[in-house]
Amino acid sequence: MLTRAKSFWNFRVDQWLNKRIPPAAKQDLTHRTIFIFPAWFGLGYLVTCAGLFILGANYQNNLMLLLFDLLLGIFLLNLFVSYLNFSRLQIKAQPLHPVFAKGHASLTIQFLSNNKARSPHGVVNACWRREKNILSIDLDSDNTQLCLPYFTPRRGVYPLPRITLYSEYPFGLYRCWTHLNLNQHVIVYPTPLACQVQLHVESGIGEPSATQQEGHDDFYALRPYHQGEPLHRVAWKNVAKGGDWVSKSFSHQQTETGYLQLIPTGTDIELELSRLCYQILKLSEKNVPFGLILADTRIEPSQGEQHKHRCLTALAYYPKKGNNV
Amino acid sequence: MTAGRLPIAGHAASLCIAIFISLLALSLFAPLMLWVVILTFCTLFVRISLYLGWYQHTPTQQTINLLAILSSLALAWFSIDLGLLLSMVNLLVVACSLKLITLSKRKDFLQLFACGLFLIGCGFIFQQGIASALFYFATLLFLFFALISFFTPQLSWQKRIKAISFQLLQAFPIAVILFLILPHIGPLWKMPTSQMTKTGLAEKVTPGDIASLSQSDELVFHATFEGSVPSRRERYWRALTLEAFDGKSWEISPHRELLRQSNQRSGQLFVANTDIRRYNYQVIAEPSGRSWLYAIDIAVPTTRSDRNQIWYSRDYQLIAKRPLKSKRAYNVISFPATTLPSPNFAMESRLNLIVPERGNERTRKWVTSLRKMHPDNQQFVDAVLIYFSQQPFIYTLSPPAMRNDFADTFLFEEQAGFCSHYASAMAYVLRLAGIPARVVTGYQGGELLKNNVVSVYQYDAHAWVEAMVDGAGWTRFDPTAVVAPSRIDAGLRNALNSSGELEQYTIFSGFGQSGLVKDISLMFTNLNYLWSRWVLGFDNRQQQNLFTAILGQLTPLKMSILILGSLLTISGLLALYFLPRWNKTSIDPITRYYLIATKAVSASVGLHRYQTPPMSFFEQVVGVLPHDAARHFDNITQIFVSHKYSARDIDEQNYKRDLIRMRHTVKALQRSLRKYGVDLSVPRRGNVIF
Repeated sequence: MLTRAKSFWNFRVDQWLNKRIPPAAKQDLTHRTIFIFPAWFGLGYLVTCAGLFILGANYQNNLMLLLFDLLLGIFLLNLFVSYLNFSRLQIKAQPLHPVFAKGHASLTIQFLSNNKARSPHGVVNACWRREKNILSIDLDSDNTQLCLPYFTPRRGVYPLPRITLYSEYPFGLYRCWTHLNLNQHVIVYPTPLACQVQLHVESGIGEPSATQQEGHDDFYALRPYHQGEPLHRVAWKNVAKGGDWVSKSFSHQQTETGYLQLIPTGTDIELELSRLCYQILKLSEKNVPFGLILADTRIEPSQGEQHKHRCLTALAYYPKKGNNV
Repeated sequence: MTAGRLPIAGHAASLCIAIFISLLALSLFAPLMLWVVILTFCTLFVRISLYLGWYQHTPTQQTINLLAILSSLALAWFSIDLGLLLSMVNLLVVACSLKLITLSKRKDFLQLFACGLFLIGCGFIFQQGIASALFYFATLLFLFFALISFFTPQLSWQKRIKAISFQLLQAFPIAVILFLILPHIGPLWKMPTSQMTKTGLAEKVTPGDIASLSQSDELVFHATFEGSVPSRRERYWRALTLEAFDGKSWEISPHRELLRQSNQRSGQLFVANTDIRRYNYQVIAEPSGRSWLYAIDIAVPTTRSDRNQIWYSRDYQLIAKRPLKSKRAYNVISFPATTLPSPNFAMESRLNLIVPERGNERTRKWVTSLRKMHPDNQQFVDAVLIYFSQQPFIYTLSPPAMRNDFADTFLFEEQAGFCSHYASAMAYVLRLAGIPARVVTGYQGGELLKNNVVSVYQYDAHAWVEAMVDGAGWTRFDPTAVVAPSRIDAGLRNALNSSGELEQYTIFSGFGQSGLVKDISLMFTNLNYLWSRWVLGFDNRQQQNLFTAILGQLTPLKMSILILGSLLTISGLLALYFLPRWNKTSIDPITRYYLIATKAVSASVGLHRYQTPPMSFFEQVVGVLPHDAARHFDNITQIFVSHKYSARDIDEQNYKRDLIRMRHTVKALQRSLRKYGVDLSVPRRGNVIF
């Protein structure tokens, strides 16, 4: 019962927050986004002030009362000082790099000043909303960036939760905070799982015709050998003649390249996606062109870093189609 | 930081708070025990070592616990002598010191800060002068410096100091408003007080005693009169009525004391007959550690809170319910009647006729013979006063010692002394003659600080006689006035001057000075008085007076308007502090300088910029401007354009450099425009379009 009430409450709060602080990658802190309330220390400070007042009244000591009034005045002023300082902040999220499942995505937040004449001071603490791990950045130092790690247990595309930022500048009497949604999505690729590379020549569903990748390529040219290239490509004849190490280069014929394909075997689909991931990485590493066919996503064969990420992103989005890939 | 653990080496905030606590311990040197002060300095040393990295770790909790147990044992042992208040202050300082040694968590630091605030408050219990108030407010600034260092570890210390001073300055007007409007409520419950050394008049007067007071120039009280100030001759400030005489000393009669206590318990108030002539005034008494107050006869406390706090006794003394530990203001009305009605004639005359059965044989014989000549009481008293004036009596502060048969020695042999000798001898003589008489001590005269303010110092201490000449009541007689009229008319200094004793008393050395030294000392006295009256003595009554002065007759409606008005004033102050900055932020300083420059240029060229782009405006005016002004304006336009229209972000350092260059160039431009100002407005190009 209690947990249900709590989750209902949380849901309502989230709804309200979405309306009040809509997502954006770059946000100025304003009166709409900043919340402010006396911190625990501020309440303690008030209790101390009350003690001084009672002491001053009992001893009929006007200086103590004056001290009490001054402290009260400072408490009042701090409401504005804290708020103004915090409202000079501008928060900007840097684009997020995709990660593999069971890794940590890291959201880089940039703390800028939206006010040239007066920059914000003090320590700003940041954490994911409803989480305890707090990182802090000192705005008076040269560092303006903070990396918040986000654990990504499973494959998929997730919107990042809201981050909570709070500051207690200057005296810790008030706590200014905000819950920002920086409108970032993290793309989580499957964890690579070692397996045999299987390229299908054509997309026909049925008999998979496994092919050796390099076997059918035509000889094209000789080029200087680079460390790490497969030894079977080395032009041994050339080496034996006492020449430099050169390796044979092969021309890639579009017609001969194959596709990686998701075969829905009815077993664990995540496992299959992990295997595909491994194969994509392997093929990219070897600079072999390949295409990818998922249920209704088809990526034409190509190669290179960008292609690799395109394919991996498709894996992350599966079974949905990644429109914005 | 949020994890709660603080860095140890190089943590400036901890060091600051350690220095703060040592400073406060020094300022509280008198109420603290020596070992407590030493302990705070040991802690300071530990903190300095930790700050510099000589130690890597704070001492373990066990060590501190052991120290805490030992200190509390020591405190418990000494607390019997110290009394509750001093024990508590000592305990607070010890606790702060020990906490300081182990300070390693965020929570510890914040607790120490709160304790620091409390310690400042405790400081005000013991010291309330202007200098100590300034000192404590300076330590408050330092305490806040420690706090801001805690929350902004990397901000430069100049900026921190600026931030705090700004806030304290801004908070001060708010504090003053709150001080004026918040109710000054009376004590909620009785607080422990310290046993302080007692100063001023003693409860027991032996002839010769008051001389020691005469050498003190300490302030006793200020009296601020509403309306006219009584003449010096009328300013007899009663403190004590002494009715018990043992042949040597006068003291408060134990019988009277018992009577007063029983009256006080049963709450039987005494109301004296009063007449129309009256003086209304406020007395601000310095702390004396005693409970009697000073006033001109017949004095009645004015306000209700004063009546609750002050007992008005049947021998016309004003007695505070609690001894004066700190400055104390009270309001009285005095009715300067010549006779004080006796509330209980039979009892008082019995009490005031008691004399020792033997001793002073020569005086007894003299009184008997004089009484035969003057059977009438009034005539007898006159005869005694005539004796004082006709015999060669000398007023001196250093009379010879008169041990046995004081009256005989004084009246017939030495014939030298001061107020307590004369008063004591005369009261004794009157009692021997069967006239009830008693000695009253207090102060006489006092300096006029301002038109309506009298300051009374310890050297104004005086003793005089009250006698019941007829059934009507007590009449004041002052034999000193007969012997040394200048003592009463012009004060002790002049009396001593006429007897040639002035040079012996260094406290009066300042009187002869003139010019700057005197002005400065007078200024300090004035300042001290204003401080006492308006800050320390600001009470319920003054608050009411202030409200009445502002609003006239107080009604609930007016009071609510006042409170609302004060709240509005505070909000206005806050708006004043914070609103302009919101507006100012919208215009960037470089743009502002550019606008100043274009304004100056258009004024001298006679061509408005309106919305012309900066570069084309420059093109328009460049031909008209003299060479160096054109060069400056070119630079200004360049800088402005590069900041306003370039896509790249300009880092802070470049921004500052450009801002400084901009400022210099604008000034140079204005200079060169002034130089050519007159010539420029004449020639104009044809293509200028308005």
